[in-house]
Amino acid sequence: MAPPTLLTSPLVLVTGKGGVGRSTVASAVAAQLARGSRVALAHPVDAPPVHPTPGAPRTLEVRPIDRDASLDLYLSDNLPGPLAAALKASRAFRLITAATPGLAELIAIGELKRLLEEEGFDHVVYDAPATGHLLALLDAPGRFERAAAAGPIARRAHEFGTWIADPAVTGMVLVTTGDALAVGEALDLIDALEARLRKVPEVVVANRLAPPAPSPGELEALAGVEGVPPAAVAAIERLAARARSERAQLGKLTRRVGTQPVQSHEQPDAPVVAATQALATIAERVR
Amino acid sequence: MSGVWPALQRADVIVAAGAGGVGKTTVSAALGLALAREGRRVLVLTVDPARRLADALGHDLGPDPSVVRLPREPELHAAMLDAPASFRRVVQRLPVRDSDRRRLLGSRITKELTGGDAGMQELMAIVELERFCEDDAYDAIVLDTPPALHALELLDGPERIVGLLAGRTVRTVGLASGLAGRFSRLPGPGRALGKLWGADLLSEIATFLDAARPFGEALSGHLDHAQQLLRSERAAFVLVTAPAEVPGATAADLAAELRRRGHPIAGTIVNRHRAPLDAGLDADALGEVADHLSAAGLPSAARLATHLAAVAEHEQAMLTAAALPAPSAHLAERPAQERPEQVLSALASALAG
Repeated sequence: MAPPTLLTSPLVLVTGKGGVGRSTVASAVAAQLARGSRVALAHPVDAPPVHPTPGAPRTLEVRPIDRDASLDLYLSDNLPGPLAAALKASRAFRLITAATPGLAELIAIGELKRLLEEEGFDHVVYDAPATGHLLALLDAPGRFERAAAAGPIARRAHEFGTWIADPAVTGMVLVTTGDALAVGEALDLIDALEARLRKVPEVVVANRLAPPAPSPGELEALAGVEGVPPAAVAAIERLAARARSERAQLGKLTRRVGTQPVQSHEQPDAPVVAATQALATIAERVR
Repeated sequence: MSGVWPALQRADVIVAAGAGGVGKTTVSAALGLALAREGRRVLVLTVDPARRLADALGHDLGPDPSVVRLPREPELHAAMLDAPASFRRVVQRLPVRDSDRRRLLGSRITKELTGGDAGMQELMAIVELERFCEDDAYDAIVLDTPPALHALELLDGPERIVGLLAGRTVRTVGLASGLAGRFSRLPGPGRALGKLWGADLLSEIATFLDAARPFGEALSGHLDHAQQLLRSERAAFVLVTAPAEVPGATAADLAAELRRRGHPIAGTIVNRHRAPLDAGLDADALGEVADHLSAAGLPSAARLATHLAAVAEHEQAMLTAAALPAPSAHLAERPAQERPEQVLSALASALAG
């Protein structure tokens, strides 16, 4: 059997800690999947908004996940109008929802599922901010089930938990930089995700990498060049050392997941170009 | 010496705030080390450090402060807060009836809420901060703020959780916790809710809210006291950011909100500059270096110099665009081969000079 790819995953979770360029990658993945299918690029409404990559197909729509609005929708779908309205207006109801463990995350999963099943999207790409947020999302159905043994919402929690943990439903893209701390956290996250989804991320993106290091000979020759102050020599040597260290860190990721990470280089003056190039590289993995 | 240091040197409590991924935990530990070098007894409170940094600080890092001994450095203390464990300890300390305590700690709702809810880590951080401030064992405390979906969570999360425990929704005071139980027995909306949630869960929630109420009231007092402390001259907030758009904008927004709420701001630490910070080595100078290297037949090295020039220009443009609180300190990204303890020593020196 062919290994599952993002193309066969209705739900694609894009994850990575802050500052690694995760949203740019989420947009690139969504734009790639949207070539020939309808894709929702989803993000929590209270996280910084995500923008589609310039030139993305028109079949790509950005959808904020608003838990309050989704809960209202759930009540309206399940209760007669006046009752739903009375609940929504009630302070006690708000208190109870706040005290219900995992409810916010459960609603977010329900919304992702609804986009696929009711709004007819072929893929939902979820830009999952912060590692803790994503793990909370994956763990919410279990938390809820532990707190409530029976009842319609407990059944729904079980259904959502089975759905999101199904390796045939959920695909994962993990974004990291080549920094040792970031790669260490990425490896921990891969362990945590594997424990929950019984597979490693389909795509790992190593983002914002330094340009390739010059040969040792070229580095040695640096100091003798006229017009190159010692501070500049030191700065270039530091950048070369970073490139070498990043290569070693990438090796750790390759050994862990079994395939080489998609590499995207730092391009500070042209972030759009960098995103487009990442898109092209990711395209090979997505297809 | 960095511009922000004198204000930090004077503070009893330093709060490092900013977007995730900018190295807040590392900067907090480095600040703690810089203060310890001046002979102060320092406690660094962190919430969720990366494993390598936690290893550098000590393998037994937990909710109780432990001594951190870095090579050739004065000792400092560090604690890693863990919301469920901290919550248990806080609950043990609060002056409430033992029966209430048992009911609260025994509730399945408590267990799940402390394990996962946004705001709980922030509440525990602030309550523990207040406790350690009262402790004569430390002259200075550095709080590394938890990673959050939203940087304002540090300010808003604790009140939201206390509001929940005390039976109040946010900005809604005075709702009796018993209401949840009564509510589920009401005809109409109550019965509808009972159907959706299940009678089981609703009664569990009602029990929880009932048991939580005295704790919420007691915690509310601690939180008010902590907030007063964090508005006083003893406190200093320092914005930590990286020279990039999103963290820069987050830090600027956060600074505006901190100011609005009356918290003292010491300034900004711009961490992880990838461009060289040496005087005279700006984007133009690096561009010239690239030309010299090209002419000397070193094309790969020239490409690195061109890259550094682009990074320098970008970082400068970002710092000009973001209205970050002055004064600021600028820290270069540490060499990739440095170990975390070397990074901490180097950053402490760069901060304090």
